[in-house]
Amino acid sequence: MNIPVTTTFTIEGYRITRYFGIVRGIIVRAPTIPQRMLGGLKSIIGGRVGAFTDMCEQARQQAYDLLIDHAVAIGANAIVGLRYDASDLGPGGTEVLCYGTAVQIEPER
Amino acid sequence: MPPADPIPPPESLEAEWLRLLEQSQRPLDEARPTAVLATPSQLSPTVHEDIRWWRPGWEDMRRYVGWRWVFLSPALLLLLCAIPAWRWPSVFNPFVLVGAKLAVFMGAVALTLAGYVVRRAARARREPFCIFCGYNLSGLPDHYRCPECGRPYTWRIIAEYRRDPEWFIERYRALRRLPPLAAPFDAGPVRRRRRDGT
Ligand SMILES: [Zn+2]
Repeated sequence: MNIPVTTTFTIEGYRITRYFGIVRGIIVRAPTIPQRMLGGLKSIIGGRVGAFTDMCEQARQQAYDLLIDHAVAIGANAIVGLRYDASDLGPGGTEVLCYGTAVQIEPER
Repeated sequence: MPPADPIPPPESLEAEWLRLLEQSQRPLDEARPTAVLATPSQLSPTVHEDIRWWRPGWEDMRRYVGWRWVFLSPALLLLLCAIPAWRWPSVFNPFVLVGAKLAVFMGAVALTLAGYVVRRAARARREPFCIFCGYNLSGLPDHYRCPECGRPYTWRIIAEYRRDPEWFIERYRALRRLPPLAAPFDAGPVRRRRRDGT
């Protein structure tokens, strides 16, 4: 299942033979109660707020999982031009969007 | 064809399963994004929406929780107190003692913790198992059918399911809601620029 995913638009040594269009993974997350509690306490002290970092990492991971699902479902074997985008959704909530172009690649001869 | 897996082929089926097991065990913060071992879109097309998924039972939860019961049991105890207090407030009412806000908050913490345990308990099963009926698939090969329910399985799908069953099911449902995609188009021939710039 290790499909190549890259932020670049080409993959060295491979040739893109087919474009499937844009694939995306989208997730909206708010901190869980323990994350909100720990994060709130840590925010008072300052420094790195691990609980909120975890929440953002989980949101990105889940958006990435959905992106791969989408690409594999339509028959792609690689994703190029991967980008992440995030926005605020009211207090505490965050929306993470992960998108890229699903392609079919084959080794260059 | 996708490029070859960088990991060399294992000598035996057991080694392959153990490698997948180790990957699905790995904490999320070790490597991000975590490698996606399989996707629900690889499930056989005969699998439909109304499927029953295997979910961890009490025994799996107990095995997963282990020493964590130290933290979990006070939260569960509070939840157990909150239910009678809500049903029969005159008989037993901790709200009077601790304040309604705190009790609601602790109840929410207990629910979150319980949900977390349910989601993670599938990892307590070390052997390969059918994600639909929970049948123990030890000793059976990869890419085969469950002898109990007859559904096809691959170890990678089991390992991905093991990572977080609820998330796997959610992804499976999300695939059904994907927007229709524009028609794919073929790439043209590559024109390489010559070194002299012409
Ligand atoms: Zn089965």
